[in-house]
Amino acid sequence: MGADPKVSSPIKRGSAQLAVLTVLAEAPRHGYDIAKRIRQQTGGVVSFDVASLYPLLYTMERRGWVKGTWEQAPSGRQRRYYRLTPAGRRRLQPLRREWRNFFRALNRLARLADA
Amino acid sequence: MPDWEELVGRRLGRMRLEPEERQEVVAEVAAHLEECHRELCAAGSPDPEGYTLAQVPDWKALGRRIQRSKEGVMNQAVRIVLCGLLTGAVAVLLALSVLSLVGAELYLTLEAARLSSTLPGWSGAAFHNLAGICVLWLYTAIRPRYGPGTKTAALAGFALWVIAALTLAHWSSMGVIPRNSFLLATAVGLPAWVVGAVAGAWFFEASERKPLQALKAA
Repeated sequence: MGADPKVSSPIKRGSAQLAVLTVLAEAPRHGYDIAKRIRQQTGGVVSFDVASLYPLLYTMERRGWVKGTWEQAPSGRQRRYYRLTPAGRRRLQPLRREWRNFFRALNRLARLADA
Repeated sequence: MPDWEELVGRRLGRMRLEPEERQEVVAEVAAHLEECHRELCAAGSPDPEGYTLAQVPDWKALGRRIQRSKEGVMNQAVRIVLCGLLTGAVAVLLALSVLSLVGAELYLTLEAARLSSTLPGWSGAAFHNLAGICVLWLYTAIRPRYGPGTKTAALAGFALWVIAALTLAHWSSMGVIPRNSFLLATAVGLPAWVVGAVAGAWFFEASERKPLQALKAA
């Protein structure tokens, strides 16, 4: 994930999980499509490459949050599509709440600093 | 246009995954890179192949990360503990067997000390088993740098022996342990810990993907 290297690992990991689960909540997607969608939705601020995306997807699949199946893409090529499982949906809700609270807190701090 | 599957398969190297699982990973990563390359070509990129491959600065590291993601950290921790217990057991059995042959006097002293000790009978084995876990942990820690296998395992066993020998040397210099006993114990300890580490590491590698088959093979 193309994030600042100074950001600590748990924060990067948590935000990466949130990004992937969020785009998969919209629709099943294959790896390249997941990365593209995240890049588009965040205006390029958050980006995944091969080296960061697939280890994360496989970890999430092992935890049962997503499930990958080989399907034919519109291009005619076989691609592995990931979809959110019920466990993934359950994981996404608290994750969204935690991040919303986190950014609300940071915004409050930022306003304090501006004042 | 490069043959992405061939390229990814070659660069990812030998991952300890089932052949079908490895093939799936290779096909998936190759499809990703191919699509990325195609889009860069369509956008008129001056070096689409270079930009595509820049996504993976270290293929070996990616292979390791994928393998870890597939097998899980807990599995790794359990394997370190189990194979560490094996390392300790092999080392102590080997050391005691050799001592009973070449150092009967020290062996009898140890046996007498064990019988008169207030500690429970299993405590000696527990210390060795903990040391075995430390050796295996060290093996896994230095494995990414030196590579898996006998040499790295022997190095981990040797490192533990050095630490133990230095500690014993300190006690010996203070007169707590007789000099001859110290020399004999350290001489016997070196092959015991090296062999123990190699045995534990072999089992660790064998159990990476197929723990049950490794048990049967042993």
